[in-house]
Amino acid sequence: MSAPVGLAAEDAAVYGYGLVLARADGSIRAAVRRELAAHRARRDAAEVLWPASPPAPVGYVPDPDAPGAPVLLAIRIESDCCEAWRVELGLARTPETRRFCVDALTAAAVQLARWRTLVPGAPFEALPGFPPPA
Amino acid sequence: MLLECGLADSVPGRGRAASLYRLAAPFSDPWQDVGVPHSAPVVLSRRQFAVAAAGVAGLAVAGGCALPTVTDRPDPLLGLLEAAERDARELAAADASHGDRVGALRRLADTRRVHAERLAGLVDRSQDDEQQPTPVPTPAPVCPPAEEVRSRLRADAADAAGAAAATEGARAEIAGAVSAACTAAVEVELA
Repeated sequence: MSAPVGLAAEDAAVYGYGLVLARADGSIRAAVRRELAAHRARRDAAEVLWPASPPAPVGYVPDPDAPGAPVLLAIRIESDCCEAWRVELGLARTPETRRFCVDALTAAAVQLARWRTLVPGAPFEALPGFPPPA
Repeated sequence: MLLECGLADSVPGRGRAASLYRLAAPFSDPWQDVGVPHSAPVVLSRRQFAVAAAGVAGLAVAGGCALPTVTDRPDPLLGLLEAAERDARELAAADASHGDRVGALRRLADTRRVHAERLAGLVDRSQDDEQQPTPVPTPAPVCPPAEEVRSRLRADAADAAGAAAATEGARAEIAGAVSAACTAAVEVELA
Protein backbone atom coordinates (compact mmCIF):
# COMPACT_ATOMS: atom_id res chain seq x y z
CA MET A 1 0.00 0.00 0.00
CA SER A 2 1.32 3.44 -0.90
CA ALA A 3 0.99 6.34 1.51
CA PRO A 4 -2.04 8.61 1.10
CA VAL A 5 -1.08 11.64 -0.97
CA GLY A 6 -1.79 14.03 1.89
CA LEU A 7 0.46 12.16 4.28
CA ALA A 8 3.16 11.85 1.62
CA ALA A 9 2.99 15.62 1.03
CA GLU A 10 3.42 16.30 4.75
CA ASP A 11 6.45 13.99 4.84
CA ALA A 12 7.92 15.91 1.91
CA ALA A 13 7.06 19.24 3.58
CA VAL A 14 8.95 18.29 6.73
CA TYR A 15 11.99 17.45 4.60
CA GLY A 16 11.55 20.54 2.43
CA TYR A 17 11.24 22.97 5.33
CA GLY A 18 14.55 21.59 6.58
CA LEU A 19 16.06 22.84 3.32
CA VAL A 20 14.24 26.17 3.66
CA LEU A 21 15.52 26.57 7.20
CA ALA A 22 19.09 25.95 6.06
CA ARG A 23 18.78 28.80 3.53
CA ALA A 24 16.57 31.20 5.51
CA ASP A 25 17.86 34.47 6.86
CA GLY A 26 16.89 35.95 10.20
CA SER A 27 13.80 37.70 8.82
CA ILE A 28 11.89 34.49 8.14
CA ARG A 29 13.68 31.90 10.29
CA ALA A 30 11.11 32.02 13.11
CA ALA A 31 8.26 31.56 10.62
CA VAL A 32 10.08 28.66 8.97
CA ARG A 33 10.60 26.94 12.35
CA ARG A 34 6.94 27.42 13.18
CA GLU A 35 5.85 25.92 9.85
CA LEU A 36 8.29 23.04 10.19
CA ALA A 37 6.72 22.20 13.57
CA ALA A 38 3.20 22.61 12.16
CA HIS A 39 3.83 20.22 9.27
CA ARG A 40 5.51 17.71 11.57
CA ALA A 41 2.44 17.77 13.84
CA ARG A 42 0.12 17.41 10.85
CA ARG A 43 2.20 14.50 9.56
CA ASP A 44 2.01 12.76 12.95
CA ALA A 45 -1.76 13.25 13.10
CA ALA A 46 -2.14 11.88 9.57
CA GLU A 47 -0.11 8.80 10.53
CA VAL A 48 -2.64 8.15 13.29
CA LEU A 49 -5.50 8.52 10.80
CA TRP A 50 -3.85 6.16 8.29
CA PRO A 51 -2.02 3.69 10.55
CA ALA A 52 -1.29 1.15 7.80
CA SER A 53 0.73 3.61 5.73
CA PRO A 54 4.36 2.78 4.95
CA PRO A 55 7.07 4.81 6.70
CA ALA A 56 8.32 8.03 5.19
CA PRO A 57 11.08 7.83 2.58
CA VAL A 58 14.59 8.18 3.97
CA GLY A 59 15.33 11.02 1.58
CA TYR A 60 14.29 12.84 -1.56
CA VAL A 61 15.93 13.73 -4.83
CA PRO A 62 15.28 17.46 -5.24
CA ASP A 63 13.33 18.48 -8.30
CA PRO A 64 15.77 20.27 -10.65
CA ASP A 65 13.06 22.88 -11.25
CA ALA A 66 12.56 23.52 -7.54
CA PRO A 67 13.25 27.16 -6.64
CA GLY A 68 16.40 27.91 -4.69
CA ALA A 69 15.22 31.03 -2.87
CA PRO A 70 13.82 30.00 0.54
CA VAL A 71 10.53 31.89 0.24
CA LEU A 72 9.86 30.52 -3.24
CA LEU A 73 10.72 27.02 -2.04
CA ALA A 74 8.31 27.44 0.89
CA ILE A 75 5.61 28.59 -1.54
CA ARG A 76 6.21 25.47 -3.62
CA ILE A 77 5.97 23.25 -0.53
CA GLU A 78 2.68 24.76 0.63
CA SER A 79 1.28 24.69 -2.88
CA ASP A 80 2.09 20.97 -3.12
CA CYS A 81 0.41 20.38 0.24
CA CYS A 82 -2.71 22.22 -0.91
CA GLU A 83 -2.97 20.09 -4.02
CA ALA A 84 -2.34 16.85 -2.13
CA TRP A 85 -4.95 17.55 0.54
CA ARG A 86 -7.47 18.66 -2.08
CA VAL A 87 -7.02 15.31 -3.85
CA GLU A 88 -7.18 13.44 -0.54
CA LEU A 89 -10.40 15.29 0.30
CA GLY A 90 -12.01 14.03 -2.89
CA LEU A 91 -10.96 10.46 -2.12
CA ALA A 92 -11.97 10.43 1.57
CA ARG A 93 -14.79 8.07 2.53
CA THR A 94 -15.89 9.44 5.91
CA PRO A 95 -16.92 12.90 7.14
CA GLU A 96 -14.22 12.74 9.84
CA THR A 97 -11.48 12.13 7.29
CA ARG A 98 -12.84 14.88 5.04
CA ARG A 99 -12.86 17.28 7.99
CA PHE A 100 -9.20 16.46 8.65
CA CYS A 101 -8.39 17.05 4.98
CA VAL A 102 -10.20 20.42 4.97
CA ASP A 103 -8.29 21.52 8.06
CA ALA A 104 -4.98 20.49 6.48
CA LEU A 105 -5.88 22.18 3.18
CA THR A 106 -6.85 25.35 5.04
CA ALA A 107 -3.64 25.44 7.08
CA ALA A 108 -1.54 25.07 3.93
CA ALA A 109 -3.61 27.69 2.06
CA VAL A 110 -3.22 30.25 4.86
CA GLN A 111 0.55 29.76 5.02
CA LEU A 112 0.76 29.84 1.22
CA ALA A 113 -0.98 33.22 1.25
CA ARG A 114 1.38 34.46 3.98
CA TRP A 115 4.50 33.50 2.03
CA ARG A 116 3.09 35.12 -1.09
CA THR A 117 2.81 38.48 0.64
CA LEU A 118 6.63 38.48 0.63
CA VAL A 119 6.70 38.23 -3.16
CA PRO A 120 5.56 41.47 -4.80
CA GLY A 121 2.76 40.93 -7.31
CA ALA A 122 2.08 37.32 -6.33
CA PRO A 123 -1.64 36.60 -6.80
CA PHE A 124 -4.04 35.45 -4.12
CA GLU A 125 -5.05 31.83 -4.69
CA ALA A 126 -8.79 31.72 -5.42
CA LEU A 127 -9.08 27.94 -5.16
CA PRO A 128 -6.08 26.55 -3.26
CA GLY A 129 -5.14 23.06 -4.39
CA PHE A 130 -6.58 23.44 -7.87
CA PRO A 131 -4.39 24.19 -10.85
CA PRO A 132 -4.42 27.88 -11.75
CA PRO A 133 -6.74 28.84 -14.62
CA ALA A 134 -5.09 28.70 -18.02
CA MET B 1 -81.14 13.60 -14.46
CA LEU B 2 -81.86 11.85 -17.74
CA LEU B 3 -79.60 8.96 -16.90
CA GLU B 4 -80.98 8.54 -13.46
CA CYS B 5 -84.59 8.17 -14.59
CA GLY B 6 -85.45 5.71 -17.30
CA LEU B 7 -82.82 5.75 -20.01
CA ALA B 8 -80.01 4.60 -17.82
CA ASP B 9 -81.92 1.48 -16.86
CA SER B 10 -82.73 0.65 -20.42
CA VAL B 11 -79.25 1.03 -21.85
CA PRO B 12 -76.94 -1.75 -20.75
CA GLY B 13 -73.65 -0.55 -19.39
CA ARG B 14 -74.81 2.93 -18.72
CA GLY B 15 -75.58 4.30 -15.30
CA ARG B 16 -75.57 0.84 -13.72
CA ALA B 17 -72.16 -0.48 -13.23
CA ALA B 18 -73.55 -3.58 -11.57
CA SER B 19 -74.87 -5.03 -14.81
CA LEU B 20 -71.36 -5.17 -16.22
CA TYR B 21 -70.06 -7.27 -13.34
CA ARG B 22 -72.72 -9.91 -13.20
CA LEU B 23 -70.61 -12.42 -15.13
CA ALA B 24 -69.03 -13.73 -11.95
CA ALA B 25 -72.27 -14.72 -10.32
CA PRO B 26 -73.66 -17.53 -12.56
CA PHE B 27 -70.52 -19.73 -12.33
CA SER B 28 -71.33 -21.60 -9.17
CA ASP B 29 -70.26 -25.13 -10.12
CA PRO B 30 -68.51 -26.70 -7.14
CA TRP B 31 -65.48 -28.00 -9.11
CA GLN B 32 -64.56 -24.48 -10.15
CA ASP B 33 -64.78 -23.08 -6.66
CA VAL B 34 -62.72 -25.73 -4.87
CA GLY B 35 -59.64 -24.13 -3.43
CA VAL B 36 -60.15 -20.97 -5.37
CA PRO B 37 -61.30 -18.23 -3.07
CA HIS B 38 -63.33 -15.61 -4.70
CA SER B 39 -65.12 -12.63 -3.42
CA ALA B 40 -68.65 -11.77 -4.04
CA PRO B 41 -69.13 -8.86 -6.41
CA VAL B 42 -69.22 -5.58 -4.58
CA VAL B 43 -71.72 -3.13 -5.83
CA LEU B 44 -70.80 0.45 -5.14
CA SER B 45 -73.16 3.31 -5.52
CA ARG B 46 -71.83 6.55 -6.94
CA ARG B 47 -71.81 8.06 -3.50
CA GLN B 48 -69.91 5.13 -1.99
CA PHE B 49 -67.42 5.19 -4.82
CA ALA B 50 -66.86 8.92 -4.38
CA VAL B 51 -66.34 8.50 -0.63
CA ALA B 52 -63.88 5.62 -1.14
CA ALA B 53 -61.94 7.51 -3.81
CA ALA B 54 -61.73 10.58 -1.59
CA GLY B 55 -60.45 8.43 1.26
CA VAL B 56 -57.74 6.83 -0.88
CA ALA B 57 -56.70 10.21 -2.27
CA GLY B 58 -56.61 11.68 1.24
CA LEU B 59 -54.37 8.89 2.50
CA ALA B 60 -52.02 9.36 -0.43
CA VAL B 61 -51.76 13.11 0.13
CA ALA B 62 -51.30 12.69 3.89
CA GLY B 63 -48.58 10.09 3.34
CA GLY B 64 -46.80 12.29 0.85
CA CYS B 65 -46.77 15.21 3.25
CA ALA B 66 -45.70 13.16 6.23
CA LEU B 67 -42.77 11.50 4.50
CA PRO B 68 -40.73 14.08 2.59
CA THR B 69 -38.42 12.62 0.00
CA VAL B 70 -34.68 13.16 -0.15
CA THR B 71 -35.03 15.56 -3.05
CA ASP B 72 -36.83 18.02 -0.76
CA ARG B 73 -33.53 18.72 0.98
CA PRO B 74 -31.68 21.71 -0.53
CA ASP B 75 -28.31 21.15 -2.11
CA PRO B 76 -25.65 21.84 0.56
CA LEU B 77 -23.61 23.78 -2.00
CA LEU B 78 -26.51 26.11 -2.84
CA GLY B 79 -25.91 28.33 0.20
CA LEU B 80 -22.20 28.56 -0.68
CA LEU B 81 -23.07 29.60 -4.22
CA GLU B 82 -25.48 32.31 -3.10
CA ALA B 83 -22.95 33.68 -0.60
CA ALA B 84 -20.22 33.73 -3.26
CA GLU B 85 -22.49 35.53 -5.74
CA ARG B 86 -23.44 38.08 -3.09
CA ASP B 87 -19.79 38.72 -2.18
CA ALA B 88 -18.68 38.95 -5.80
CA ARG B 89 -21.36 41.57 -6.41
CA GLU B 90 -20.91 43.61 -3.26
CA LEU B 91 -17.13 43.52 -2.75
CA ALA B 92 -16.61 44.77 -6.29
CA ALA B 93 -18.39 47.97 -5.18
CA ALA B 94 -15.66 48.83 -2.67
CA ASP B 95 -14.74 52.52 -2.94
CA ALA B 96 -12.67 55.21 -1.28
CA SER B 97 -14.72 54.93 1.90
CA HIS B 98 -12.94 51.61 2.54
CA GLY B 99 -9.57 53.32 2.73
CA ASP B 100 -6.52 51.17 2.04
CA ARG B 101 -8.69 48.02 1.93
CA VAL B 102 -10.14 48.87 -1.49
CA GLY B 103 -7.60 46.83 -3.42
CA ALA B 104 -7.92 43.80 -1.16
CA LEU B 105 -11.72 43.90 -1.27
CA ARG B 106 -11.77 44.08 -5.05
CA ARG B 107 -9.30 41.19 -5.31
CA LEU B 108 -11.59 39.21 -3.02
CA ALA B 109 -14.52 40.08 -5.26
CA ASP B 110 -12.64 38.38 -8.11
CA THR B 111 -11.90 35.41 -5.85
CA ARG B 112 -15.54 35.05 -4.89
CA ARG B 113 -16.58 35.34 -8.54
CA VAL B 114 -14.32 32.36 -9.31
CA HIS B 115 -15.99 30.49 -6.42
CA ALA B 116 -19.44 31.29 -7.78
CA GLU B 117 -18.51 30.13 -11.28
CA ARG B 118 -17.11 26.81 -10.08
CA LEU B 119 -19.96 26.17 -7.66
CA ALA B 120 -22.58 27.01 -10.28
CA GLY B 121 -21.37 24.08 -12.34
CA LEU B 122 -22.11 21.69 -9.49
CA VAL B 123 -25.30 23.04 -7.95
CA ASP B 124 -28.80 22.03 -8.98
CA ARG B 125 -30.79 25.27 -8.82
CA SER B 126 -34.10 23.84 -10.01
CA GLN B 127 -35.61 23.86 -6.49
CA ASP B 128 -34.39 27.37 -5.90
CA ASP B 129 -35.90 28.54 -9.18
CA GLU B 130 -39.26 27.06 -8.22
CA GLN B 131 -39.29 29.09 -5.02
CA GLN B 132 -38.52 32.36 -6.80
CA PRO B 133 -40.63 32.39 -9.95
CA THR B 134 -40.38 36.11 -10.60
CA PRO B 135 -37.09 38.04 -10.71
CA VAL B 136 -36.92 40.83 -8.15
CA PRO B 137 -35.04 44.00 -9.13
CA THR B 138 -32.03 44.41 -6.83
CA PRO B 139 -30.67 47.76 -5.69
CA ALA B 140 -27.16 48.87 -6.60
CA PRO B 141 -24.64 46.79 -4.62
CA VAL B 142 -22.97 48.36 -1.61
CA CYS B 143 -19.76 46.96 -0.14
CA PRO B 144 -20.06 46.53 3.64
CA PRO B 145 -17.26 47.65 5.99
CA ALA B 146 -14.15 45.45 6.03
CA GLU B 147 -14.91 44.13 9.49
CA GLU B 148 -18.32 42.89 8.36
CA VAL B 149 -16.71 41.29 5.33
CA ARG B 150 -14.32 39.46 7.66
CA SER B 151 -17.24 38.15 9.73
CA ARG B 152 -19.07 37.02 6.62
CA LEU B 153 -16.04 35.23 5.23
CA ARG B 154 -15.48 33.44 8.53
CA ALA B 155 -19.07 32.21 8.45
CA ASP B 156 -18.75 31.23 4.79
CA ALA B 157 -15.55 29.30 5.56
CA ALA B 158 -17.30 27.38 8.33
CA ASP B 159 -20.29 26.62 6.09
CA ALA B 160 -18.03 25.46 3.27
CA ALA B 161 -16.03 23.23 5.61
CA GLY B 162 -19.28 21.65 6.80
CA ALA B 163 -20.43 21.14 3.22
CA ALA B 164 -17.08 19.57 2.29
CA ALA B 165 -17.42 17.10 5.15
CA ALA B 166 -21.00 16.29 4.17
CA THR B 167 -20.43 15.73 0.45
CA GLU B 168 -18.03 13.59 -1.58
CA GLY B 169 -15.71 13.67 -4.55
CA ALA B 170 -15.45 16.78 -6.70
CA ARG B 171 -18.14 18.57 -4.68
CA ALA B 172 -16.15 18.08 -1.49
CA GLU B 173 -12.98 19.30 -3.23
CA ILE B 174 -14.60 22.55 -4.38
CA ALA B 175 -16.26 23.18 -1.01
CA GLY B 176 -12.97 22.51 0.80
CA ALA B 177 -11.04 24.86 -1.48
CA VAL B 178 -13.69 27.58 -0.98
CA SER B 179 -13.40 27.16 2.80
CA ALA B 180 -9.60 27.37 2.65
CA ALA B 181 -9.68 30.47 0.44
CA CYS B 182 -12.17 32.27 2.69
CA THR B 183 -10.07 31.54 5.77
CA ALA B 184 -6.89 32.67 4.02
CA ALA B 185 -8.66 35.86 2.95
CA VAL B 186 -9.59 36.66 6.56
CA GLU B 187 -6.21 35.67 8.03
CA VAL B 188 -3.98 37.27 5.40
CA GLU B 189 -5.67 39.55 2.84
CA LEU B 190 -7.90 41.36 5.35
CA ALA B 191 -5.74 40.84 8.45
